[in-house]
Amino acid sequence: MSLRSQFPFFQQGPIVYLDSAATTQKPQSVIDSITRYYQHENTTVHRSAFSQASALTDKYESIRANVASFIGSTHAQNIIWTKGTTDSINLAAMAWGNQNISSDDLIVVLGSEHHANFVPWQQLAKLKNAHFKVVNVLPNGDIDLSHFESLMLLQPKLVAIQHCSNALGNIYPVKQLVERAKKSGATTLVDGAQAIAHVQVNVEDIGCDFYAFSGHKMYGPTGIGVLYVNNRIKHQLTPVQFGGEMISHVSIEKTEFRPFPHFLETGTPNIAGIIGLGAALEFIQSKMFFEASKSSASLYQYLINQLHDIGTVRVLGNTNKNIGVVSFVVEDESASDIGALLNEQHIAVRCGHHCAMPLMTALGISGTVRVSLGCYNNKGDIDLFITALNKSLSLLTL
Amino acid sequence: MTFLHLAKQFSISPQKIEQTLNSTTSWETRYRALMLLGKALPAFPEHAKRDENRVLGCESNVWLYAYLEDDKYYFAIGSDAKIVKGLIAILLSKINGQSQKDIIEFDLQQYLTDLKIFGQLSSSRTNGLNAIRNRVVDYLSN
Repeated sequence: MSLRSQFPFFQQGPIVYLDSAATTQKPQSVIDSITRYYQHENTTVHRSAFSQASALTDKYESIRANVASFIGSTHAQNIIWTKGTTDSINLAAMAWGNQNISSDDLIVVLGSEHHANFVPWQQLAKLKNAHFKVVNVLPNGDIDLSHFESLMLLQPKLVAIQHCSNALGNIYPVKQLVERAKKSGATTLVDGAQAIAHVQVNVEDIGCDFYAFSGHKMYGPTGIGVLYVNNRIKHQLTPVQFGGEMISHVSIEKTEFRPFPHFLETGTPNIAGIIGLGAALEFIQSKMFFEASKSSASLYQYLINQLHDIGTVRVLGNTNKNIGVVSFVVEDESASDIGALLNEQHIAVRCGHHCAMPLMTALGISGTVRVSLGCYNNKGDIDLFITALNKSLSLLTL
Repeated sequence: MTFLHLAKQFSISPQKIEQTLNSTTSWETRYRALMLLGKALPAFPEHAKRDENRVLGCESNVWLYAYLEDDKYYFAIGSDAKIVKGLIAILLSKINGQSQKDIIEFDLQQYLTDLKIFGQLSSSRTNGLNAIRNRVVDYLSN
């Protein structure tokens, strides 16, 4: 069976899906795992006395261990369940930032950040009267390393960086950046939302304190995400939400909390989402996925070459170090017009600022058309897209 | 030329809009007709494309200036997107030079449905135009 046939989404009619950076489609195995949970395994974790509940708890905790080893961490207890990348970063900003950022401290982010790794830090800085500085980007969306260096000399308290650009697909040298930030004494967070399905992530090799990502961008369900927290800083986090599941003892006088990471996981968790994420991990580590990913670089290159043949198209970003995201603008045309006409031809792409307005401002553009590839895309998809793009451009210039 | 003059220059009637769009037979010709309507908008000056007049909530850049003269409201609206310009022409044909009451009572969603420009896709494709209309209504209520 082909890999694409594992995805029921593609069985419903003619759509060319080129928006996997927004969310990936789900394989049947992920969908089945969630159905099976609700049909046969539906209990809750950690509290109930009967055997199904403890079997489910074992499965739930084993997925935590699988997630840890998938990102190169040896400790399952370093994994906190969240709703997604945005939730993970906000949790870090509240559970760590609230106690550890004070007035006149410096927070540094990259100029290419998704708003999810920009606004929480900007707002925290505002709340704490701290400073917030943004590393300049080069015209190709890469980091201005000399500017990064000059900001590191100011000894920031926190450095939050994107592993890969959601708008351009650039892969950033996170290991090098984290290493430099740590030398300045900074705590580091890496936003891995776009990297997780494309790059082999090893948090211990990167050396970061936090690593955040979502299930739904790695063929898993929406509403589940992960915040990895390094042992070094675990003790610096404090609870953000209070209630069930996160406590060990409650009396009228005081409450004792469960150990890390449980005191950060308040209330009944998203069990179905975690089960689905477990199935997504199996999919992404399967032989079938591995085989498909071997051809992803040549498919990306084919797409770039086809676009270069259209004279008015300008491809942005670093196309040599990229996760398979192509962002482009067309001379004299707006991204929204192109998106509307592609939509009429059943081509799903994303148009606009891609939740990275500071990056768009730095590049001097208002938005791009973004084509992003997933494991199920093939040459036929690219050909249909290019034909539809040519047709859109001729309609716009008639 | 003042902006008020620019706003008053708009002269596409609803009849013209309906005729133009009703004569189309495919999505291609419908979009062509829409873009031609957009071309008939008075040219919006580059220097007026300023942040304080930007309409938020649109996928493309849209700027709006509004004027009141003799109890009638006039609007100069610019965009960098050709399809959005066509949609702006549709909106202006119904509200430009009208009274506050008429503008507030105008049912944009129903009008777009009647025009059948987007078929099934009306709500997703017209979010930007709704944002423009909301900006107009905000202006009228302040």
